[in-house]
Amino acid sequence: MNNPEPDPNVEKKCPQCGAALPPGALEGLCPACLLKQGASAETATQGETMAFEPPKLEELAKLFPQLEILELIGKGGMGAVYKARQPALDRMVALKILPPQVAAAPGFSERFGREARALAKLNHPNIVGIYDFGQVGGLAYFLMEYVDGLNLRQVQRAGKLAPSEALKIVPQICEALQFAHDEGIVHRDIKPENILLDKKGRVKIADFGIAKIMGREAQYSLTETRSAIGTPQYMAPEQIEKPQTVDHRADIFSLGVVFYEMLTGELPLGKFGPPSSTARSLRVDVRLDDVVLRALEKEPERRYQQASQVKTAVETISSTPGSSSSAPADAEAYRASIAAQDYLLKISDCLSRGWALVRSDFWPIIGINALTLVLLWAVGAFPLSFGGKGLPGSSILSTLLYGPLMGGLYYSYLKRIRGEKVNVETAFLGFGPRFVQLLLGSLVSFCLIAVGFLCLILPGIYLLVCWAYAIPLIIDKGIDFWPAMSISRQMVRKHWWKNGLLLLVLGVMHFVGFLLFGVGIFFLAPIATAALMYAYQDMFGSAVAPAATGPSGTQVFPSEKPGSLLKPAFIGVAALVFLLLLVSMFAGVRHQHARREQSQRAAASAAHKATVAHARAVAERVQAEAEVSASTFGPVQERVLSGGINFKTGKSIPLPEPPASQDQDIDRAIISSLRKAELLGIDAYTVADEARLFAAGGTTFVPVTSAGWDGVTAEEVSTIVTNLHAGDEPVVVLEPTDQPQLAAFQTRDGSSGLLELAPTNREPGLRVRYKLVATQLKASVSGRQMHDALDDRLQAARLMTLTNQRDKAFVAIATDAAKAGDVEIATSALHEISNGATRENSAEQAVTLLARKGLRRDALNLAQEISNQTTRNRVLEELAKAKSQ
Amino acid sequence: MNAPATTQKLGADDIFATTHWTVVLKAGQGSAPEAHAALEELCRTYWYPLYAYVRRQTSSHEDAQDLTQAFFARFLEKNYLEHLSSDKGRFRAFLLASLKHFLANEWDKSRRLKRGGGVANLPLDWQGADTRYVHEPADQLSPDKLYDRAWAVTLLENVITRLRQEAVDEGKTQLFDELKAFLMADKARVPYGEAAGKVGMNESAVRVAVHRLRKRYRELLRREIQQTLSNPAQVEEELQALFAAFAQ
Repeated sequence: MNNPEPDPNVEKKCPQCGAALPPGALEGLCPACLLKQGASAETATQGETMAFEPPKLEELAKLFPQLEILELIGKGGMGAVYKARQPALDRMVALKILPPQVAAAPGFSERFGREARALAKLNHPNIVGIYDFGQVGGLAYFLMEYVDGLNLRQVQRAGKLAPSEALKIVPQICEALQFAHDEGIVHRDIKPENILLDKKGRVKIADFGIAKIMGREAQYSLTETRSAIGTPQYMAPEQIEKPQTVDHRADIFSLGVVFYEMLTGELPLGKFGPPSSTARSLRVDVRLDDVVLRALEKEPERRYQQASQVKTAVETISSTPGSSSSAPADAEAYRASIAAQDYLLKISDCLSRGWALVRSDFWPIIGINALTLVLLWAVGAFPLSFGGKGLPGSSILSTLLYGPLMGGLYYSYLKRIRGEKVNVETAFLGFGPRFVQLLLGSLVSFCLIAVGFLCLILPGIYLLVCWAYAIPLIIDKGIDFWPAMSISRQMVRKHWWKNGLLLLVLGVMHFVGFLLFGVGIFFLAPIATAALMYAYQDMFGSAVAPAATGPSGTQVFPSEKPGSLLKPAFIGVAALVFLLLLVSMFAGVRHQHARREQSQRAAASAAHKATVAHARAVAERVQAEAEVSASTFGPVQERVLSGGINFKTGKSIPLPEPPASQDQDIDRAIISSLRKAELLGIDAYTVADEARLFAAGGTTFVPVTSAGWDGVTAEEVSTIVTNLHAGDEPVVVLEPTDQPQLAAFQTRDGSSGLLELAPTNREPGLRVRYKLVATQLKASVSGRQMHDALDDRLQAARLMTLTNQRDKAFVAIATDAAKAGDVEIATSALHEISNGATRENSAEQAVTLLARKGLRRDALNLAQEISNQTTRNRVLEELAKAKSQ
Repeated sequence: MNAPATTQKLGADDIFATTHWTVVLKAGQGSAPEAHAALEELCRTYWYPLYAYVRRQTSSHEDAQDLTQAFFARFLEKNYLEHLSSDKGRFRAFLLASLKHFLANEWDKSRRLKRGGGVANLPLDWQGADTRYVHEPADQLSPDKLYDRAWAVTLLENVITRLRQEAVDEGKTQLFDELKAFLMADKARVPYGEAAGKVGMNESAVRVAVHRLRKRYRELLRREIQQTLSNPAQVEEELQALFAAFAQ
């Protein structure tokens, strides 16, 4: 039917549908039918492919002349397996024929060849070896090692699998898997049917990589028979969901499923419980739960990453005793056996051995111990005394956790002592099953010891020593807590004092360690604990309590687990915790120190403040007394001006015409108060005085709004004036207004008074009148009183501590003394001033005042004492000038 | 780690998220090179039905050739995509609509396109087309139906060619030739035994081979059709439409 000649005369019709066939096209096929076929849904053609008929023996014999085909031993989606004999080599072989649909798949041959070659490299005692492969007569075949035995499925069905046997099988599977994975080959179809057990009990895994050869299509096509793809229950989730991401960890999952099935007889489907909890598995070690469950993790990252890891885990478990699944150890039998024995307890020996043990594996031991201690401390019970047992009265939580924590710790020490490999992961493995017992043990013994302490202490101590070994017994021998306590007591009583001494020594070690800033305890506690464990070992031996059965262990090769990150991380964490404690301790000490200092300083400053306040009060009182004498105004001076004055600048507001009168002088004087005035030698109030009085820059004015000219008293003026602070310029521009203006003023030399400006009838005109506060009145106070007052002030000022205030006070005293003419006090005050510049100024002022008072001689003497040459010269000059006036 | 899987010869046949036609449609007015290439590819594949249609309308081969060529030149300028408001879901329909539009509005029957003028022509086998056309049975079919049938045949030819090529690559040419007839036939009627004898294979092997072939054929067919659709889910509809072209 190829390439028909185009013959326009003959209409070709399709035999099926009768449609006209286009000549020369479609290789003679009918388009209609093709379309119809194309449009038809993918009908189930399973009926056709399902029946994979294994070739008959005769057929095979024809195809394989070099073999004696004996019988068909297996049939499934992966093909058919025949038992055959290879006469040339006189050995039995297995011939596996792959289903034709596999062989017919595109790209098959290439894949087949490549995979088969890779598989042939898998030369391992636990892997079924490949002898030959090829394609003949459209059939693909493998020639393999013949395994005389059963597969795992058959064994399970026959019910002949015990958990202990399972524990022997799994490591072999792991070895095979690891070997293959290292070669880059993933099995992808681990299931009981593929795990063969020969008559010698050796495990052989078959069909490695077959799944890969079958190709992607075989696996993913859901219309193909189920058996063509991997059995789904054993497939890892990613094999079904994301097949491209499948790697060797899928095998580990399948292994987990197989393992689970071996232990429990059921498949881990849906929500399943750990193996130890399913009904059938009374004899499953609970430690296997973790292993199985981890292998069954849905995420590949969370599983074991290497088959060898599974192997190590399983072997570790099978080699260590102490499984809770066993019947509780027969305590009585043990007691009987041990009671008869005596022992020798050498304290120093235990200590030195303990030290040797710690030194041998220093940092891990320190780390584990530190972690335990920190945990205990964190829950509120820092072991304070004997042998690691805390005094009762700590928090409930610590009491509860103490037993299990210490039990695990003791157990790890015991393992080390006995030369068993301990790593971080397995350090606390043993205590899981005995958790309840440990908890009860610690709780009960704590309570009873507490009671003992309450009753006059001695019974408490007795019990404490007696039960020192209860916890190790619980965890090591698997004995329940009450018998453990009793056995411990029995043995201790034989040498109670020795044990007591031992515990005392250990307690002292703990205490000393604690004293050394808590650092020491991390180093001494392990030694103490190790010593205790050596003592325990001597007393109770390492014999396992009878009737405690565990799975018969296989040979343990303590292999280094590849890349265990936990160990360094653990040590790192322990070191960190340790450092934190150290730091916090130092910080605490420093904090204490700082606080103390602070309180001290507070007290000091408080005292200081009190002193200052006192001094000031005294000074003020004195001052007040000095001034309390009534003050009055002096005579009123009055002038009338025809203009305004700016007292700040001294400038006048222009006058239309200076009146011709005697008053003119004053006017001029006032107006011209730009000039600096001579301030010396004021004896009487003269016009000249006024001029000086209102010298520019020397007088400060404070407006007074209350009362009136007659209403304001001299005292008020004084008060206002004394309230003026240096630097303030409450200056007033007094200008003629309609209303009279009042202002209190103070001149540079200290005179104060009241000023009034009022308009006059005369236009323009300004009436100025002022009256000075009479300072003479102060002089009316008897000189003696004045002197005493000043003296008191001097005393008070000497009490002050703050220099600034002191100096100010002395300046004021000096000034007042000078004003009062009390040279003695003035001089003393001046001498007390600490600040040089202040002293100079004050001295100058005092000299001036004295001179003004007429005490020229004293002024001169005082002036002589001024150290600063410039100032002295100036002062003397002025004095001289005054004199010459 | 694991040996890399064989890259399937037909790896490129993984269903694109975009078909040729969707690429074109997406490009729209922009002149993305992929769009242009896709459009050219489509035209290159399905030009014969167009020619057949045109040939039906015109009397001479030269005219038909001119017209078709002019149309493609115009079409490939891609202005048609935005001018026509017709449904752009199927390339087949769209192409025909464009052609009709062209014939009605732009082609002045009196004019002839200057040979070799300006536009790069698609290298099409005009002579072969003509021969083929001529040899097709004369019929009373409407031009549209003729177009559809020609389209279907073109389509199927492509698919079969591909299948054959695959078989050749696998080294199973003879098998293919023997079995290709079974692509059409009902399951029940396939003489498996006979075929088995011819190819020297086990009968069940033959069954399986036939099954696989059919499956593959269907896959390729669908893929091919999807290239001309904007919505790949409309394959079934298109198939029905094509099948209907053969109904009497």
